Amino acid sequence: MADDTTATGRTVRLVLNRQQLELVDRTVARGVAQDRTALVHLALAEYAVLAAAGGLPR
Amino acid sequence: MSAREPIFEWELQPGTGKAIELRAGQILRIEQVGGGQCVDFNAFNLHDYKEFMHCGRTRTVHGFNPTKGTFMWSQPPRERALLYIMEDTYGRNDVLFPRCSSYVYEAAYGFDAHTNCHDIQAEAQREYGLTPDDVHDSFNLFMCTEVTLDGRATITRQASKAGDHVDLLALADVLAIPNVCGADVMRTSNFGLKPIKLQVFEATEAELAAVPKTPILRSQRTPKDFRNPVIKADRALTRDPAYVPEFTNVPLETETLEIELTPEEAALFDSVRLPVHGDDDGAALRDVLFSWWESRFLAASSGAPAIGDR
Repeated sequence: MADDTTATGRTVRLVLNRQQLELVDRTVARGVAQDRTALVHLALAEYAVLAAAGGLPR
Repeated sequence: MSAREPIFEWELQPGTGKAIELRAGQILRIEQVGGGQCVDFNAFNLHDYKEFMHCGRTRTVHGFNPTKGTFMWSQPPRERALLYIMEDTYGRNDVLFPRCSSYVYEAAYGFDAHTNCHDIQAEAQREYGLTPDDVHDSFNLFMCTEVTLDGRATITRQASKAGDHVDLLALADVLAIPNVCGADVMRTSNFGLKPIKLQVFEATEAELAAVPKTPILRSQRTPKDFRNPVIKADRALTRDPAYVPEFTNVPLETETLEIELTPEEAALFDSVRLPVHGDDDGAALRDVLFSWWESRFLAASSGAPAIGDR
């Protein structure tokens, strides 16, 4: 279902299990992003670039 | 490896197989005598037959047609490289097809009895106390197969010549069992059965040093790690009343992250989200997150250990 939408943007509720969180936290610990939330924003930005370039396997 | 003396030689006749104790550091050469002959192959850990070469695992790591420079892996949770394909002069092998069996020849051709890879393997393995139920999926050497666009696997004729060979280097002590494929009424071996030459050599230090390193991981478990390490000795399955399930990481608790997207990010998100997730924003963003992670960090493609990246 769609999440909250406001005039300034949108809130997405990202549900992760503890294994997924472990991978996220290990990635953050490598210095890729400052925290979990920053990592998700980075992922979206870089994913969009990859998708535009046709660089993502389906 | 041309001039050295073999420590074992054997000519496999049509309809037969041979169990060979191959120690770590020894090379089994499987060679065409007349050409055009498929060879089915099984391998077991010589010291624990419950560990064996696993075509599914091997297929996942190296694809449908493994050749020179790839490994034959054992099954989960062992997942060790048991053998290394050091040389392959023809370069066509198959891990898609199962061994042929007497059922095939009876059902499709009406034979009461016919040479077939399952029974040949079973008979060769019997020398070491194994049963017909212990024969596993075969690695099919010199077998040409294709996958059609509609997803079916097919067999084609082969063009291997006399002298073409595969050299298998044992990375652990194994019982190696090659057999001349029994399919004389199929195109697998061009509608004929021919002998196959077997030789065993000691690998040189240089050959051993040239083998790519494979990962040593905690997840490669052996019976000492099993909750039940005892091999079941009877045939019937009965429930253990004391059984308490201990699945890994269960229950899988979840946590919700509230991700605030700017209008620009929301537009970007909507432009890349996949239709499979419908209007589920959370599932679509999770897909973005882990697809991105795969593209940037995944070192082991196909979920398998990548050779040489650890």
